[in-house]
Amino acid sequence: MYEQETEHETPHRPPVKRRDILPAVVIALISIAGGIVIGFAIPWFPAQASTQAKKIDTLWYVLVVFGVVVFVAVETVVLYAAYKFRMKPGEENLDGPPIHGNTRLEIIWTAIPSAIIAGLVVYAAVVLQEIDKHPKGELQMQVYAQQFAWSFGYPNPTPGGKTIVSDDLYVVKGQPVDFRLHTSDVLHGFWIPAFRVQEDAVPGIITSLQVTPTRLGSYDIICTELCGLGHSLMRSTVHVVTAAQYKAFLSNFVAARTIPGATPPAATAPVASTPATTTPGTTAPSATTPAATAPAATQASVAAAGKAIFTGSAGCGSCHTLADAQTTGAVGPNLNKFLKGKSQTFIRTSIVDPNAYVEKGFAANIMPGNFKSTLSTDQINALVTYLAKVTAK
Amino acid sequence: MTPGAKLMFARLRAPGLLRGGWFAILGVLFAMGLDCLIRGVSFYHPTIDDNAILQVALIAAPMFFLVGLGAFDYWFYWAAGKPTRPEDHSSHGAKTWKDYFRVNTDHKVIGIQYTVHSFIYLLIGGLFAMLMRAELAQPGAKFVDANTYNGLFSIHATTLIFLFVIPVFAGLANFVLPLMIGAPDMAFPRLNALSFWLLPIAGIMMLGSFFAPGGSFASGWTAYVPLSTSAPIGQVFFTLGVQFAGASSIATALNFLVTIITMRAPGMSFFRMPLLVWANFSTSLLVVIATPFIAASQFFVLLDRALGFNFFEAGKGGDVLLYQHVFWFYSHPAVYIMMLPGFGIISEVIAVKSRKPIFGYRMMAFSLLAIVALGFTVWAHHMFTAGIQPWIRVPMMITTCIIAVPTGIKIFSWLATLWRGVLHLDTPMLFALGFLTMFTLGGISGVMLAMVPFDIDVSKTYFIVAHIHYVLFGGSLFTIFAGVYYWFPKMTGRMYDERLGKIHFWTTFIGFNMTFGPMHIIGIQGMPRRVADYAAQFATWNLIISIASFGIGLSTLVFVYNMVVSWRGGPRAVGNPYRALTLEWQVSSPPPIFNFDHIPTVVGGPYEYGVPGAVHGVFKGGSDVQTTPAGSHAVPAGE
Repeated sequence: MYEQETEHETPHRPPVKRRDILPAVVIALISIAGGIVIGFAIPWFPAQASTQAKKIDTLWYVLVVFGVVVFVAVETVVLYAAYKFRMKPGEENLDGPPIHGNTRLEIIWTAIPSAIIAGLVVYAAVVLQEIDKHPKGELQMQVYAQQFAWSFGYPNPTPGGKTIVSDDLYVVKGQPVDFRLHTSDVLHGFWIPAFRVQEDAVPGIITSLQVTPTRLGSYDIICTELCGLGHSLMRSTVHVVTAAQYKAFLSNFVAARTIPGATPPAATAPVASTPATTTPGTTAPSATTPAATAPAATQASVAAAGKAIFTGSAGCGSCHTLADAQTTGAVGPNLNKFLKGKSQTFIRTSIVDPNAYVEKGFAANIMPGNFKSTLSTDQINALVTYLAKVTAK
Repeated sequence: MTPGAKLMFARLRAPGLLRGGWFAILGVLFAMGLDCLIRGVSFYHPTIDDNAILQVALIAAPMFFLVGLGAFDYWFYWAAGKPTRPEDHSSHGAKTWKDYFRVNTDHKVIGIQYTVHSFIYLLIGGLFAMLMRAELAQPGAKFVDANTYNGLFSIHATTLIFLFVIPVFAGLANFVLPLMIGAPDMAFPRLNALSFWLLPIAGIMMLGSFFAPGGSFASGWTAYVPLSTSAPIGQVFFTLGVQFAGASSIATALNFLVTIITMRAPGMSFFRMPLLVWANFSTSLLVVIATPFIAASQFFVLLDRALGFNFFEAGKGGDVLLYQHVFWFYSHPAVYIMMLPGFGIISEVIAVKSRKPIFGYRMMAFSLLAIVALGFTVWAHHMFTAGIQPWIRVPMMITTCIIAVPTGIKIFSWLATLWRGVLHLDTPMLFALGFLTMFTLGGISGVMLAMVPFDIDVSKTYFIVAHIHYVLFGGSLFTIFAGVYYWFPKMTGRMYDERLGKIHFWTTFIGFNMTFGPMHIIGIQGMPRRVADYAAQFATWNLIISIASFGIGLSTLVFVYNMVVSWRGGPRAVGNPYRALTLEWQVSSPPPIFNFDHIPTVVGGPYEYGVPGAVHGVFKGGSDVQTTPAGSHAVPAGE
């Protein structure tokens, strides 16, 4: 079949000679070199901050090299054919040579891609095995996901102490971590681009993810699994710190949860027991009005602490507008407007149980419901004191 | 009764859209009645429940509509033992535009119904993409709220997958496949008509979800549980809409399989079939095996939502990952359902426009079947970071990569077909070459994503968005454009405007690469998909992407203008403007009502270009029309 054309009259087109193809081959080789240079020059990745990141980045650059070679090879043939074999005037009724196939060529282009792919698969499997390894001295940390907030649980350095839960994640440089992922509602994706790893938190099961941070700094934590209205806001930060800083963080964190004056001694009695121990008709010292019993000076410092929580660790301002804190979030209700004249009880309930009352025009399940666990009683008291103060009029 | 009233009653009783309309209203009333009755006798409170009625009505109203439309009339008559109307072919063919708005059994009319209907959804889905890009042009919430945004990308994907790419391929094949194999029609013309009329139902349901209380479905086209089982009622519009689109797919696929197996012209052996027929044969196998799985997954969701079955309720013995396994067991093969027919189109265009036989014809056919088989073994590569058992990842990575081999064989065979051809670089051919370029890129990023460690980083980021658009836009949509331009003369009897076609190609090609190329970079840099807002560091790229995407929108208007104006007043097309050998080009444009006055006899392969005088089929019995012979590779006569 291949040689059939020679049986006929003089071919209209001369066969393609080797020297015709040579320029195309040269251009292709230059393009491959150029493509690889560009592939390496593009700033693909964010900071490389874990042992996993290093291995995955190397894999990527290997893939880029093979990708460039394959793409340039295909494109060279397409462009060469479009340029060299396009129909020219007078060829309207001409056909190409009736070439039906070539077994040797077909074997080659089955075998070579198979070999490349086999090599890449083995390489990727080795990388996978390495990044999945559980090194010795791994520290287990908990990741709690919920619509639309992250919180992180650390083993308490004090033996027998409760798990410490914070909104930002602190990990130690060089300390391998085994994250255990929990979710209290829908699927969430736990991704740290700087570490190059992600895994879903799945209702009903606990999933896990291993990583060893290698670079100090603060990096984004991003939810990658669509989880509802606030999905794009479900972010947090991981801080890679030294062992000493980590220790300091844990003790400061515990200390920060106690705000002097926020919870006066009288109110530390269990709230539930209050009605029973109170004579009817008298005003009970209630946990819902802690600051009322505190001196004015303390009240001011408690409110200041509340403001710091509002703009800082609790991140209220990203969703709520509050003039005093100069925040302009528009996801949730404007607090200046909607908290005006509301009681401290109402404010407290709205923080710890956001779905108890949902303002008209806003949907339920948007505001995180975990402030009761991520903030201490002191911190919630401070926040309530502050909000009541600045929205009173 | 006055004659006027009689006429009105006759109209109301005659099958058609009018009867369909009032039957649909009956369906809603039936749903209300059934619902209140059951709740009443079971002492449920309240007896009238909006959500319950809505869910039953979404099933009942479409069924009543189809009955009213007349899609079941023939079968009802037959089942009731009434005399069926004799085969007068009254429902066959189209004489006026009105014939496109009724139950029509002519595969050519159905093909056009399918294709035009699908393109309406391309424009709608594309419009939603423009709205998304308007929101994403700058960081911060600017234009739509989070719920609307989630709805936009969910419906964008759903309409383009279930109402554009899958049905438009079925539409093009509906028109040309029976012609190509020398058949007078499809095997089951009435089933074919029903398949089409299921689609507008699915489409209206998907779009109608915007008007549902609580907003449209907003859990993505993947509708992962438990987000979808706890979402507002708009979700059910997806759950049930997919059932109608899926039923349409399955019925059409069965029709194709039976048509291809039993209705080939004499002499048309399997290895003399054009590759488009092979491609649709393979696709139909995928559809009939895989589509029931998505139907099941959505019925599970419906039962969970409506009746508290707890298939997916983790706290009550349900399994969240079960959903994803069942869903992807369909939705990965669906990727090939959306690609293999395009491979068929490209084989036709490249062979005819290069004036050469397809290189390695048998390997092209076998590689399609290999993709069908392998397509069922890779679904968990969508779930590498979903919390699945770790050991399954490497086997799924291997099977995923193996699919690159038959796909590579196809690409290389097309390249070899181009080699030494006489390339007619008109609009269909430009789209075919554009497809080769961009699908290769999509394939490369696909192999990259198959590598588990890399996927662990970029899964569910904009890198994925870039990859799927290189495959489904640069891949599928470019083959669709190639096919629509290529068969436009055959389907409409008119020629399209070549200059506008080329403008359309170049603006789309450039706009496409500027839109989706940068998405690879921002994905790896750390931008997740499905977000209405993003970090300021991605602002520049997103602005460029948004502007480029509006360019694609404008280029599509050029296409629409070209199609509409050419269809109305383009130059008349001859039967075979491309000197093609396959049978659909051996009849007039548009073809006669029963396709062939004489059934052709196939005497050779479909692509014998360059073999002087070779023909694919001949008309025995003294037909006026003779088939076109291949040209010669020698000097053309008269030179």
